[in-house]
Amino acid sequence: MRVRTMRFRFVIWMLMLPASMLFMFAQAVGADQDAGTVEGTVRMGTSTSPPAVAQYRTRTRAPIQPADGARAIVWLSRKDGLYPAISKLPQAQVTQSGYQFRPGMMAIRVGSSVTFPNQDDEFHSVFSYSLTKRFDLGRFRKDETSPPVVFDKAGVVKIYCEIHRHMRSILLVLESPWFTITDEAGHFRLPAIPAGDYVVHGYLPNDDQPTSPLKVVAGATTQVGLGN
Amino acid sequence: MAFSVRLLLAILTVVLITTSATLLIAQRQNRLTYRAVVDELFTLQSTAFLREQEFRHAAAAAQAARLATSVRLFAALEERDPDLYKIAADELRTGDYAFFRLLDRDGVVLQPPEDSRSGMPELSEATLTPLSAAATAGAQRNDVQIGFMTLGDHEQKLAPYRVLAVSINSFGSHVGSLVMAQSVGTTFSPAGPTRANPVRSALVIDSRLISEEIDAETAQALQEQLDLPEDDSTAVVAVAGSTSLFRKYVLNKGSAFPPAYLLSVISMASFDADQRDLAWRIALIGLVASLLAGLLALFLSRLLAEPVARLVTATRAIRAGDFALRLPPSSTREMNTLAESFNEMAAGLELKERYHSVLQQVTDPQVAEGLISGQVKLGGELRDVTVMFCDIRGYTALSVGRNPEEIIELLNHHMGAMTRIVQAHRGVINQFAGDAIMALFGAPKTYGDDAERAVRCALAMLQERDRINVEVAEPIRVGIGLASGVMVAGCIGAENRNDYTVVGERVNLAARLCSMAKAGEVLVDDNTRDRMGPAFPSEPMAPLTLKGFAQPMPAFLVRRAMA
Repeated sequence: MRVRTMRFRFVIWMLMLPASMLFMFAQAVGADQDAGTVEGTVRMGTSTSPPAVAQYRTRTRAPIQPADGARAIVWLSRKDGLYPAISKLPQAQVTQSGYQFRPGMMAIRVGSSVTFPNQDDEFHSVFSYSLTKRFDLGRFRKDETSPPVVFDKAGVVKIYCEIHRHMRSILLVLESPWFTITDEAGHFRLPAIPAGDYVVHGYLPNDDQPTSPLKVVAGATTQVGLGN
Repeated sequence: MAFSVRLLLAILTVVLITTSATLLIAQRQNRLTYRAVVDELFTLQSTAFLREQEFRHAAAAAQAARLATSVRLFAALEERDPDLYKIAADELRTGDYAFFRLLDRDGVVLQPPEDSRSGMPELSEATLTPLSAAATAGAQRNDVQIGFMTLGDHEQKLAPYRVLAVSINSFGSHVGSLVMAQSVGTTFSPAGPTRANPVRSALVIDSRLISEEIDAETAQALQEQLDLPEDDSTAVVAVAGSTSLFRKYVLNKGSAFPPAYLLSVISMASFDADQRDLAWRIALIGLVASLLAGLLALFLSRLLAEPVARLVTATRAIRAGDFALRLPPSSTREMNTLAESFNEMAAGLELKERYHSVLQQVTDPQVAEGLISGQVKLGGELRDVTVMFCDIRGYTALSVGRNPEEIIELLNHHMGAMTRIVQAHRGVINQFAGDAIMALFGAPKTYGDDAERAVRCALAMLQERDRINVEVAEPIRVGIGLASGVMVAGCIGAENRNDYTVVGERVNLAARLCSMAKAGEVLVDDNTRDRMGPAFPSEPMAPLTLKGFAQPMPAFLVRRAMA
């Protein structure tokens, strides 16, 4: 019993140690009381080419739905490149629905895995030749599950469907945990950012990537404007 | 100019004009027909080739277009995936290309990896640069651009290639271009140029002529004409003395690539030979026609000239007084009519001449002339006339023992000789009565010295008679009586038969003087003696007591000149 108790304690202890370390690190880097908020607007600029479905003839049973509205991704990077570790591998999802990838633009952290469920009644294919992550899930139907894809490198991944060439999605794989997606007007809000010096990045629908240096002050809201 | 020559010239002119016109028209017609056929052949040939090209273009363009819209290729090109060429080759699926290359969005050729299936790995940058320029230009037009290029094959012979350039883009974002080349066959018609289809064709790429159908010489000549107008106009080029027709068709109209042409050529040599042959034939026909026409002209002119010549001869004969000549019937109707008409005329003339000669025989020529010309008044007039009577002394003795033919011959000989003398002295023989001759001087026409001439005539008659008498076996002696005075002259007789004569007492006196005259004597009356002038000496005779004259009439013997 005693032995069991001892063992149990050891296990608890061993489990507690990293958790406490993590907690301490989190306290050191961005404790709530030292955190600030970044708010701002991204000027989208003219979107060069929103997917124009009318350019080719499709033979789909259901009508093609419009793609998600144009939004931009905003994230913060640190000069030292040190970012809080991921407590749990996040699982993201890019669905194919209404003959569109949804969301059309998404940011994930490095190491996240993404599934691509097909919600349409027809085949879709999912592939990317991006250097960040080259993968090809081939064609699959609604009732076929596709394996999750793990994105272990930071960068841009452009995803296409071979069958419907208007379908495209952009995955932004980031080291940074501080990212968000704007609304369609370009407004964004990043709360609970540890005070310090950052660079704020935007990824616009037209592939522009404007940047701007930023200082986050504890307890304050920093206003940022991005894009031309 | 003779009729035959004129006819010959006329016919030859007509033949010449007809032949030349025929030749001109035939050659012109031939040329037009040939040009039409050539145009048709050009059109057929080019249509066949261009249609096949179009078909291949369309197939290749479809292939290129499919590739241009391939999401995989777009994605791979966008990311410059190392497997780009592999993906492209996979996407092309069929191997219907000689080579293909991918260009980035700036038109730079992406070098294929060594193990790629893009074909012709040895192609140099220099070869590909013009393609990239056209592809970049074509990218802005957003459709498949078609061009042609030549590449040396293994034996360094230029082989033509069709090049298709297409922009690879997706919804407005251009990521690069695809350039694809296919080998182009230079077989323009399955059987090649034949007699029925003599069109030779060539491709013109970058001002270079590529063909197996056109020989070097023609190619050289065409090379100099390459900047001639395109399409729809047939141009002429001279090759080694003979002409050729050619036409250009643009193979890639409206392309960003430099234009390439299909060139169709037809040699006119065989046509020219045909034309020359035709010319010779027509010339030969013309020659034969000329010969025939010449013969015809000769025949026709003979047909005309012979009767004309005969007519001329006949006319001349008639002028010479030969009225008996008749023209033979002629073969032509008109000439026959003319001959008949002439013959009728000749017959009429002959009849008239006969009348004339009969008239002259039965009357004195002067009287006959006077009667014909109307100078002699038939109604009668008073004229001062010297009448001569001359008859033979001893006629009865002369005629005894002779047959009538001999008598007539003798008389005729005598009368003829005497008549000639009378007529030489412009005397008019009025009648022959038996052995007597009656002649008039001063009727129907006076010459002023009628009596003197009458006397001279009488003396001449005696002299002539003497001269003849020396020659002939039977000498004839005559006595002559002359009397002058006013007497009635005119035609006396029935309605349709009369004689020109004179009537009066002096006529009877002359007859009496004649009968009184001895052989070789000329007796004249007083009137005659008064009028004959001093040239003729005379001696009075015893006055004659004559029947019908109240007083004896003085008579004189004209002394014959002493020869």
